[in-house]
Amino acid sequence: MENCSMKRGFFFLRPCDHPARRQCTLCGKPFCDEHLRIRPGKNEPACLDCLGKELQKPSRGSDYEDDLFEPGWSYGYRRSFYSGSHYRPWYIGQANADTSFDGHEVRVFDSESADDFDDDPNAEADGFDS
Amino acid sequence: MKLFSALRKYFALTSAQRQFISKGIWACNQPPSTIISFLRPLAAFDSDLDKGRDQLMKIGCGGLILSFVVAIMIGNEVIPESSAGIAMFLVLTLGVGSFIARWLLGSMDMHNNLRLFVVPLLNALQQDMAPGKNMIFKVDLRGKTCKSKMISQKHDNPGWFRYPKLSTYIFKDYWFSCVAPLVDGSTLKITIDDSVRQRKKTYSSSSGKTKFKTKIKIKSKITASLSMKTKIYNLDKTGPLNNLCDRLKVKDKNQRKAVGMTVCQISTSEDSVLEPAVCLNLVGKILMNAAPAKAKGA
Ligand SMILES: [Zn+2]
Ligand SMILES: [Zn+2]
Repeated sequence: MENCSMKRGFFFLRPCDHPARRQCTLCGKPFCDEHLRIRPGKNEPACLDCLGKELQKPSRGSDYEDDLFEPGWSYGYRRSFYSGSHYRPWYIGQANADTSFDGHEVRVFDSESADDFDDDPNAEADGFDS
Repeated sequence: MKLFSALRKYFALTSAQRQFISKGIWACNQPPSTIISFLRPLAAFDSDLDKGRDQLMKIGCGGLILSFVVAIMIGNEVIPESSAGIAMFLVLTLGVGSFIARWLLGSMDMHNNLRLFVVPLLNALQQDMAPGKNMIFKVDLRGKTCKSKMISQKHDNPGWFRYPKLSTYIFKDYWFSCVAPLVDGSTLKITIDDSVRQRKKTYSSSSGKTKFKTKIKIKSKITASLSMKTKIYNLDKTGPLNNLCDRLKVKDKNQRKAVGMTVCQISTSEDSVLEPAVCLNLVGKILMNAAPAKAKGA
């Protein structure tokens, strides 16, 4: 079975490495259980990206406040964040020439940098004032 | 009716969650998913409770209006005398009862910062946390003007029956902080400190009546700091960040560079809510400013 199609992350995007279980009934791509939910009111699975996009629609009106604590919220919100704050997410993982995220330009780490992410023996020395 | 939904959600909470509602303060060092699982049902409960209390307010007002109508109907003998007492009792109970219930439920109401700021912010930060790592988290929603947060007070009292009398109270409310190790090896720290000035004035109006007025001014200091590995990021040019915040702090330490940005927001109500975007924007600006330490193809 192929891997989940979700890009994890908010500031740092990376592919989800879990095996896909089912297809999203909205975008048709395969996703893992963590990134699928049953659509409210319908007995069909949808991915958090598609659910998140629905939550961001202006027609949500007063329900919008309740969406803020739904698991899919950050998946929908990250798109408006990228365009609203001109943020270009970092991309961690195998990148090809046209790596982008839904039309949002990404910044790619080279594989050498990615190796340095978790090689910190004194991770506690985080450099903050106490 | 949202009130019943709120009560159902309340009884489904664990004792630790109920304790947080009554104490208003919670701190932990746990995986972000555990923290969010703890807070999300509280957010859903609080949302229903707010809506339920709004409904009770409307029912209460409706009940009081209805009792006037019933009183007029009794006066005009539209309602027979034999059922006048019971009709009046019913509408008054509905009106007054709703207000009392609304007031009693107020003690379970949490500051909306929990569901509109804290949970969505953690929801976004969780996405970028290093796998298997804990978040150090603290939230204090006991109120900005609770006694233990007062740091000074001043009273100007010209004497008995002489006005104006002015009392000024200063509070410090460190109500939110979290430290999160991120997937790129950076450590993110977000803190929010509110400086609160409350003024209570007693004065005599032009008609000679004694009046009271309370004013509050809250200055929220929102800081996001990222301690980033210099092996990964080139952070030589932090200057442009100066123009994007109220205070910039840059510090070198142990093969890391910590970049902290602070913005201030002023509000005049204890109920005002912070937007998660304020913190996310600060983190975004720090990360946008960082260049990779190893230039591609070098
Ligand atoms: Zn989908
Ligand atoms: Zn997945």
